[in-house]
Amino acid sequence: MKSIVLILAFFSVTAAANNCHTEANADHNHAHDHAQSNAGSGKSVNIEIDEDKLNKMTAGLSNVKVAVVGVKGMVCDFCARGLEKAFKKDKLVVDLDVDLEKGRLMIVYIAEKNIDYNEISDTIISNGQEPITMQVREI
Amino acid sequence: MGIVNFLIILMTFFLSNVAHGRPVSYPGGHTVMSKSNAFYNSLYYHYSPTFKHSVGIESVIDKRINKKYAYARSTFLINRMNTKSSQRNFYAQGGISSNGFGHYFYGIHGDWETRRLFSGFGLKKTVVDDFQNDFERFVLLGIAPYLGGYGDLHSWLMVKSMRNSAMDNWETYPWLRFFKGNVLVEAGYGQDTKWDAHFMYRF
Repeated sequence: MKSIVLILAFFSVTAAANNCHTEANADHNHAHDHAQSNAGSGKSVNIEIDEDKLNKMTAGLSNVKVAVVGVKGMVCDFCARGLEKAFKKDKLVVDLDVDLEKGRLMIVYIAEKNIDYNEISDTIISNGQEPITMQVREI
Repeated sequence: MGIVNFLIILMTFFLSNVAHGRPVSYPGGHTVMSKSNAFYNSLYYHYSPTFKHSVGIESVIDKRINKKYAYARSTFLINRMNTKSSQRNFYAQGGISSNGFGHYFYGIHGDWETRRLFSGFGLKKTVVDDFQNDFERFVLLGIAPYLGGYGDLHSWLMVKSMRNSAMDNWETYPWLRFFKGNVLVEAGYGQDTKWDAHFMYRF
């Protein structure tokens, strides 16, 4: 009985802590949350891009598209391993970068790829994380 | 996360029971784990068809009853909550021994982590022919001394507290966790548990 109570306490406390994170992130990233609904319709939306990282990833490349995706729940290296494996199954993916600090995925595709938010979203969800928003840049 | 929430989590865990690394992998992921402490050695392989489920076989050398057996076992992710900076998981697990249906285990475990903090718990009841039961509980709390990037060596300084039916009291001891890429190694040392070590490889 004591164990059950304590499990429920754990559930409640972590839910409260997670809600604090969510609210804090919502306050801090209001524009990103707004972007999420746009992303769901398949449109490119504003998301902060690490230009230095983008430049390093795409150095020497041309005719590529880069999808930058915000991901919830990508807090540890192990969590992101599955995402890397899943996206790299797509032969049109040239490179992929995981930014644990910002919770971002940067996926470089060849230009012929028709980047579909729903496809990317499904891949992320099937790995147990949640997409927030996405922006596509052509190089 | 506020300091109050963190203190509540700490209190919750120290009043109760904690857990190991992720028991379910990504879809199509294979995992090999080995564990060793004063009570048992085990080698465990599991396959995850989805991120919510894993099935596998565990070979156990039980030092308490001096027997070898295997479990066909499964783990389900009951609930996951993702935020931008944290993830929380609850899992249920169960297994049936090669000794027959009279020897089985079931349990629940959970974890909550950010890039900096980790907390988890585990409860596992093992039944051996209705009379030789074991109830293992553990709590694990950790902090990352630095925040590594993807592919870096990640290190955690942790405290593990555990108790099972062979122990008179809870035992709390330091625990170190390291992982890089697909390999995780963690270990601690306690007076009763002696060396308590866990290795995990995913592919």
